[in-house]
Amino acid sequence: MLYRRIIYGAVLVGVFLFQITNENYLAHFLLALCIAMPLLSLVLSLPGMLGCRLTVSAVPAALSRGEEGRWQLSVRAPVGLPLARITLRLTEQNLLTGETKKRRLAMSGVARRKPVELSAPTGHCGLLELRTDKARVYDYLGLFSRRLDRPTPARLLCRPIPAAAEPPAIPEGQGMRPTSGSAARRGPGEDYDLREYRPGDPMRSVHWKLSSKWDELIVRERAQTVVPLPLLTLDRFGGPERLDALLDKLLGLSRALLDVQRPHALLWLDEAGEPQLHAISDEREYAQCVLALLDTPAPLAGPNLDDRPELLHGSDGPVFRIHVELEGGEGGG
Amino acid sequence: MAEREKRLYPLTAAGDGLLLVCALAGLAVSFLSLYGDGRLIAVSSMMPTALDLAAAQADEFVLAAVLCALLSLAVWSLPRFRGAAAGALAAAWACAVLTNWNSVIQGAGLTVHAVTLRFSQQVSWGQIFEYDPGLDLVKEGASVRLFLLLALAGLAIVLGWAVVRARRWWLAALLTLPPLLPGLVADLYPSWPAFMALCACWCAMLLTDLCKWAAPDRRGLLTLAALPAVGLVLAGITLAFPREGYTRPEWALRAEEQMYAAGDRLSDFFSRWEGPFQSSIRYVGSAQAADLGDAGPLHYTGRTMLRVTSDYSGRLYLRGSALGRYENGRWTELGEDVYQEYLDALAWAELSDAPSPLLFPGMSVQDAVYYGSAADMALSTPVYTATVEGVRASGVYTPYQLLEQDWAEVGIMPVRDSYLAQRAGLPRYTVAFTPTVQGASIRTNSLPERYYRDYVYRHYLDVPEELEGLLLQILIDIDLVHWDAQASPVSYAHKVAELVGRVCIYDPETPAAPEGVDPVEYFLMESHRGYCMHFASALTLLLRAGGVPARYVSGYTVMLRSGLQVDVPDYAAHAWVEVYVDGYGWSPVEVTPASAFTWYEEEEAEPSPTPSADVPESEAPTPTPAPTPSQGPDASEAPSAALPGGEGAGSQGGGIDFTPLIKIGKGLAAMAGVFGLLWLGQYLPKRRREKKLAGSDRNRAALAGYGYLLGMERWGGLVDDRAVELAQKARFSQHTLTREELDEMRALIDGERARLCASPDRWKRLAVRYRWGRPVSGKNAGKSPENGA
Repeated sequence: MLYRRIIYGAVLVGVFLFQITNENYLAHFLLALCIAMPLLSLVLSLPGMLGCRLTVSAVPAALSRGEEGRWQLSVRAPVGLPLARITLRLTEQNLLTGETKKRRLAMSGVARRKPVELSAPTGHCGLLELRTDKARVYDYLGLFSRRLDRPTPARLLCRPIPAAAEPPAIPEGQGMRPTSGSAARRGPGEDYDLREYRPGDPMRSVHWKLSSKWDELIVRERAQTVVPLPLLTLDRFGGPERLDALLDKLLGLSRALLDVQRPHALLWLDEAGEPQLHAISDEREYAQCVLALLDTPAPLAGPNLDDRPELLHGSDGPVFRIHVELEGGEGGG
Repeated sequence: MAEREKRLYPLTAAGDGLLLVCALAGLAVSFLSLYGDGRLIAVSSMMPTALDLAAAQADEFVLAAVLCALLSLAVWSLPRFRGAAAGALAAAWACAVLTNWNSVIQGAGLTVHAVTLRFSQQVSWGQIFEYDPGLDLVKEGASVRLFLLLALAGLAIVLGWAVVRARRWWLAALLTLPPLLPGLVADLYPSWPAFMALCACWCAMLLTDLCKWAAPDRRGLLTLAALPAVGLVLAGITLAFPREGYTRPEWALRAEEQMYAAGDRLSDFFSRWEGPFQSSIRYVGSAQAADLGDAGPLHYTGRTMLRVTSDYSGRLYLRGSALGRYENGRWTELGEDVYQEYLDALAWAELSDAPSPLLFPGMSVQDAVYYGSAADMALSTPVYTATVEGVRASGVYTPYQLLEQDWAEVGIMPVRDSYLAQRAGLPRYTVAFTPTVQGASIRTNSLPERYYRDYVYRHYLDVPEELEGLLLQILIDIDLVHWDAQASPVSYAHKVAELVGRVCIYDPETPAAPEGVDPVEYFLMESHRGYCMHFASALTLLLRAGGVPARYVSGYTVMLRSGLQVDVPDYAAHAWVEVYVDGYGWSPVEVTPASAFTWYEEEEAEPSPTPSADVPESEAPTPTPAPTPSQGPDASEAPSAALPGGEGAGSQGGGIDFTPLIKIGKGLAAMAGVFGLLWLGQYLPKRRREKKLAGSDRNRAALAGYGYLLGMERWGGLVDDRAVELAQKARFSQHTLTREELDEMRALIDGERARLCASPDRWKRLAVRYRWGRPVSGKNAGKSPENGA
């Protein structure tokens, strides 16, 4: 509306000079009209300007990458007259990739019934946020303005498209966990493991025959086959394209595991290098994990999980690490 | 947009229709009233134009404008096929024009003729579009009417598109303003209500400009809201600043002066800067020319032209330049080549250092004093000084009878026998003079005066050959041809002026003489009206024809107050005649009738030290405005620094007139007052109501609440049975209502209020909210009629 103010200023100066240099009544009338018109405009606009409220929302609230998403800006005006003009400074940000776009929006003749829609950039996955940095509503001549309260930012979850994947094969028997089950549960064909005696081992477990043979106390321990926990790991950094591909692959694997009802966990390092571990055993945890993956910034380059081997051991059992990379997943113990 | 294409919105159509009607009817009536005058038809002595005839039927044009507006609206509001409909309409219009082609052309020519005639009458513009179709006035009027109606219909088609489809306010202004511009520029005023209607259309479109693509129904609503609001503002401005009796505000005059003064200072700066190669003193001045051919109606602005301070009190004539050659309606100076004759004569007599003839009158007085030929007069001839500052006027203006002084020190010097020139960059000059006018009663024995007298008689008796016979005939007719003019030239001049004044009247609105006709001849023989330029020119030529050397002088008249600075406005500019008195020099003679002026009446009561002793009291010099074509309002109300009361004369400190600001302030205060009253009208009843409902006497509070419910009935409210029951209990029961029952009553009131506030009728809602306030109870505020009380 700067141009309108400049034009009005020029007109006012012109009319003022006209009044100074011209003795006709018309000059006087024009000057009075030139002064009165903005006041009239303000009086007509003021109810709408004072009662105007702005809300921002996303439609739909969540979608898959590439689907059409829209921001909706709704204006609530207390009077039936349309609002002359609303100007907005918007910031659109992808919280995952950090991509930020500033937008300026001017809405003229805003009637309360019609929300204004803007397309949301759903080309990359991430949590999209639309913030209103500045909002002003103008009078009918565009000379006076009032700052509007900033509405709550709107968020739109742009999810990755899980890649089709088979549940990864996890080699059995590689992870063995000792157990101390009762003898009654033993049956023929049970496997035993042998080890040196440790104080506290029950005497019944001493393999006397072998102990006498090896001349040291050997105990036998019943071994139980355990299935290691699949641990999906990824290096969560890189550009938007890389992140899209990584997340597609990661969530594809996760989805496949979930489909076969295989609990698993996701592990990555955040921007500060802190490990983020999310166990997934149902849809709710899956959704939470997706949100956690998408709503924090991912740096272009970051720490590698291989540098933190201590994080890759399960605290209460063996894990089977599946590191998700663009070239393919790599299993490991 | 797409929504608008599909259907017709009644509110939008109503708004657009009103805009179109305002624009077309306003334009039609404004145009007719601007260039025509229907009242002239009834005046037998006036010759009406065809446009005057059309203007007498303005109602017909209003009706046509309304019909055209509605038709155009209907076409351009069509949801579909409007292009085809508009094309058909345009084709019908073209057919109508072609069918009546001759009449339309005649009407167009006559209209243009009437417009240019009116324009030229107002601004003395000689270019009148002459057109005579050879019809009688009634037929001419019919042609003009037909042309204007067809023009209106054509304009309606285009304007309909501009208003309904394009919705550009500037486009509407561009289409409707040009026909009025010549008149407005020429300071003509159309019918004010009609012009206001047109302005209302422009302003309403301007206000809705930002919303032009809003939802159509909302836009229509805004237009309907803006139009009356604009109308109110326009009416308010018209009432606050009425056109009748308008005078330019003092602040505007002051601002203009300061603006020009700044310009002058700038030009002074550059004129003083003489550069490295210029060291001589330069004198600047102007031998003005006066062109009677261009002299149309007078206009004034009230601009200050000179600023004079003197120890003299009374009226003073400040002469500028004298013009001695009249050719083709134009006065010019005789020129250097002619004046060289006098210089040669002086050189021959070895009198090259003789003073300028402009100083002869002062020398005459000084000689008279010196030689004691008029001892009594000498005693009563004080010497005064006058300091003159040229604010806007170029050239030097001095009183008559300048006394001898060091001209180099003063900074002015005579240029030939015509005017005085001022040293470049000199802001002001002070001259000594003696105001007591002796005119023909004193003589100087100066030798140069004798040489100059010969020169005067050779060159200041010339009249154009084509006018000579006419002038002599006039002198014969008024029986002055045998008058011994040279014996008493000033008396003779006044006699001629008196006799001319009997047949010619003063009229500041005198239009310019027709092209090709000598203005003096036209003034004396046909128009018989004019102002100072005409009187001075005619009298100069008549005096010359009668054998009296005379010349045309322009300058200013000013009423001085001793010791006070006086601003000389532009309307104090004047023209008069100088006649040559042997042995004395050039003596000013006022020849413009005194009776025509009102703005100087107060000054007439003052002792009038006119520069001519021979001037009879009844014919005292009367200042008249000089023609300043770019000037303005009524001189009678313009601020005059020469008013004898001294208020204007003494208060030249550049004070600002706050009247407009005060007016605006009053308007704002009135507006604030109205809003304040509206607020009080809501606040006080609300407070009283709440006080009553919160009163300690619960029965009375409940009854008051019941009263409010009854009051709401008039607005469509319902009185719940429970409320009646509670009111009856409060009124008739010996028990006092419980607190819960009173709360219940309050809730009922709030509920009913909320119900009314949810009324679909906007105005009812507004009225209810104003009268009864918004629902105060949070839980009841949102109750709908269904779930409310």
